[in-house]
Amino acid sequence: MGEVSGRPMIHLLPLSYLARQNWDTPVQQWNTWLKGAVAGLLAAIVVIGLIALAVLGGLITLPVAVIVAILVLVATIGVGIWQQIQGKGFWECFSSALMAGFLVAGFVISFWAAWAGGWAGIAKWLLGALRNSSIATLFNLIIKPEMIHQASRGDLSVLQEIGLIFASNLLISICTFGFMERFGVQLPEFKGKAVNLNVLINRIKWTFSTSVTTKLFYSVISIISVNIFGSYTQSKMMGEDFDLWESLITSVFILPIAIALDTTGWNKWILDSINTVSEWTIKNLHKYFSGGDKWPTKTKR
Amino acid sequence: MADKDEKISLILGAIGAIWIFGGLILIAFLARWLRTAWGIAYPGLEEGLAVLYLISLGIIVMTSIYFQVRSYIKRSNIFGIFLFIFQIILVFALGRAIWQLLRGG
Repeated sequence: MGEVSGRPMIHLLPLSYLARQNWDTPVQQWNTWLKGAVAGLLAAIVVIGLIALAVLGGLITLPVAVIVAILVLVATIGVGIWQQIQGKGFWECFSSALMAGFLVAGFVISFWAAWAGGWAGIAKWLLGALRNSSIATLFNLIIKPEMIHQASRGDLSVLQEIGLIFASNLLISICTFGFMERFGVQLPEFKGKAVNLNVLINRIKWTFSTSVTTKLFYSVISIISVNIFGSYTQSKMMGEDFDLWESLITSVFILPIAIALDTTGWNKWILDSINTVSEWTIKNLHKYFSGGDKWPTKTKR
Repeated sequence: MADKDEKISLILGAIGAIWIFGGLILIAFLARWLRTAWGIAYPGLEEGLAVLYLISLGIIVMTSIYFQVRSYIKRSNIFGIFLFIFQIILVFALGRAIWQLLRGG
């Protein structure tokens, strides 16, 4: 009897122990690094989706996309695991990995786009980022002039805030350059003037019914996504809340207007007008200040 | 970079980037030195320096944008229009900020 009742006991113990150990292992792994890795993988899928859109839109070539995708995968999983080791939760790991993946993808694509122009291209890329950051920082200083006032009273602690604004803009500018540069090249160019209504209608028809349309569609979606990723990364860097709607609306509004103006030829017309107006103004201003002529009626004649 | 306007714009942008920090540190120290070391203490000294900084930075950045717009317009680049509109908005915002600083921050 004792043998019979003892047998299952002997067999059950190691079995349940084994089962528990087998179950423990994934749980243990999940709690040490697997959670971060899964979050990183999820972020990689999102960023690789963006890269795929850019390939479909003709913004980047397939070999570059493959290299970028591999680098993104390594970066997101790495950051995900690192964030978990720091004691962060799943979504925190995911958002940090997303940010890292986007920055890596953006940096490599921008470097590739800049390098196409040689050293001059690289200079344009980096100096352009500096210029964009200067403009953005000036805009922030204009909105909050009390920061300058504080500095002029000898309190240099505002330098940190200004530095953060500048640095985040610089980083985003460096990492979005490639997409924007390639998008500019992508836009179908209008030749001739859109003064005739028939020409205009035909032009609109052409824009929406050829192979250009599909490509343009994908590149527009990827540019909008890049904008959203950029503002997401920036607000995270600044420690602010991210407003998806605001970011979506600003991206969605500007692009279609730009494309519509460009494809229908109105772009050229408006730019020509601006050029004429500004040239006229500068010519007359110069004359006015040098005292050669009186402003403005005499010079017009 | 064959475009001369773009080159001027980029260099001015980089100078602006240096001036954002260099200029701010300079006015902070200048305000301190004027008051403590040289004993010059006009009322509104800080505001004046702050306005001077904002105007100088504004001029550098505006000129940079101006040359960028010119370069874009020459190449019939669509973003020239947006930048042009943005520059006009920026001029008004700059004026408002200077006015605000002049009235005491």
